[in-house]
Amino acid sequence: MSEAIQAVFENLRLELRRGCLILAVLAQLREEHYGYTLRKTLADHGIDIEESTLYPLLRRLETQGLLLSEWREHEKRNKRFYRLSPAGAATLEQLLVEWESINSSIHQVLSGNAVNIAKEA
Amino acid sequence: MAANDLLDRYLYAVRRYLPAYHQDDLVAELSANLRSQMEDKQEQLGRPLTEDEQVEVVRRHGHPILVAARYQPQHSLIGPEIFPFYWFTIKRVLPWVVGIWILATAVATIFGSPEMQLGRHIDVGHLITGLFGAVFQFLAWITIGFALLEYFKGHLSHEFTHPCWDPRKLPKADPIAEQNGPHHPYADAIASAVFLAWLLAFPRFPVLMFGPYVSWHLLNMDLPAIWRQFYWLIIAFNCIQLAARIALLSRPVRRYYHAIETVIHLLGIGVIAFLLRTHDYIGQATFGGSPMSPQTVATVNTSIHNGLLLVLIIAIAKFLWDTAQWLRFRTTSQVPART
Repeated sequence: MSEAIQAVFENLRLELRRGCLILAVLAQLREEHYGYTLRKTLADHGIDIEESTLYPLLRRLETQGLLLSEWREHEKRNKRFYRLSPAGAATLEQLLVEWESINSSIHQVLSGNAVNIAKEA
Repeated sequence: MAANDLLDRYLYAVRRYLPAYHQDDLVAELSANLRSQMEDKQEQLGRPLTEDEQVEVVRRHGHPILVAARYQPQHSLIGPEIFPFYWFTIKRVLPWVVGIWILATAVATIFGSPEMQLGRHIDVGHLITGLFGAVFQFLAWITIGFALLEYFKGHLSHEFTHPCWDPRKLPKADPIAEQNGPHHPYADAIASAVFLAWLLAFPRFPVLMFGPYVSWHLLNMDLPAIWRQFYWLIIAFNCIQLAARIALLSRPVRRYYHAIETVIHLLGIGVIAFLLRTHDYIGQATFGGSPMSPQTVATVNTSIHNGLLLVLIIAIAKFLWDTAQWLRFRTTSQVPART
């Protein structure tokens, strides 16, 4: 693959991931987490996200009213814990419906293509 | 270096670039996360982290400026929604600004005060900086206007930011105008403008025509009046040509591209024919201080006349060829596809 095509792929991959990451973060924050444990849990589920992306994202989602946060002592250190707000929970439900719809449509498109290719063969 | 010192340095560096009102809060959160990460890694390894491992944790977190930048609200002078309109406006209006400025300057030069007239005080540096000034001012005002639109777009009515439009009101598709137009309309307009500027500038700076190594004084010719008349004629011709090139930037006008080109071509032939009215092109010339012999002057005059005659014949032949091609397309109603 040429470097130019690789760069195009990287851009598309980032675009594809961006929305998915928000969905994953919101879904994971149905349980309370602070930044580091959230990142670790997501990584354990195969969603690797850089610290420099995750922590500002948490702040942005909080500013948008989708998350709530509080400082609390945990293991002898003050940490900022995040969880989904009621508005965030409602938004997550809507996003999941959208996600399922897109996922199902993409599957239909892909299976339709597969059938056409099989017919042509 | 101790882990605390390393982290303190890093957090101090990040803090410098964070928004002032969130510095303490953000740094405390980053500190807690980074320390947790280091402790976690220590637990996994069952030993304290080496300095290199600590450095790796901090390096992986990102450069302080980039990390801090992620916490800044996203700023853009003109956002992606408005930008296409901004760019479209610039592309459409900028050639007009350049063209109008050049025409205005040409008119001021021709009809201005005697001090400003041909060959006396045309300052090419002034012309160039004036043009750049006009373009810069135009870009600045357009940018400010669109930046304000971007800034206030949240306060504007939905109809303003999302204008209603009806596909039936879009201009009619006109493949003839599209395919008959100039191949590079913007390049044509800019080339015409630059050529006109050059024509206006060279009487004051003959180096523009004769090159840096030939002094005007070296080639001191007593030029007959026809050259002065020719100069004004060619200035007028180029002003007309520039106006036509600017007009052709508009798609509806491109429908008349061949008619416009025909007129320009005929005017160009007329300009060359004008010079053929005489056989005396260089008068009593001296070269390097020595007068030319009458035979040399006669030979140069005849060569120029014959050269101009050849140019005229070529121009007429090209005109006839282009006209024949165009008529052939018209009669067969076929528009050649562009490649």
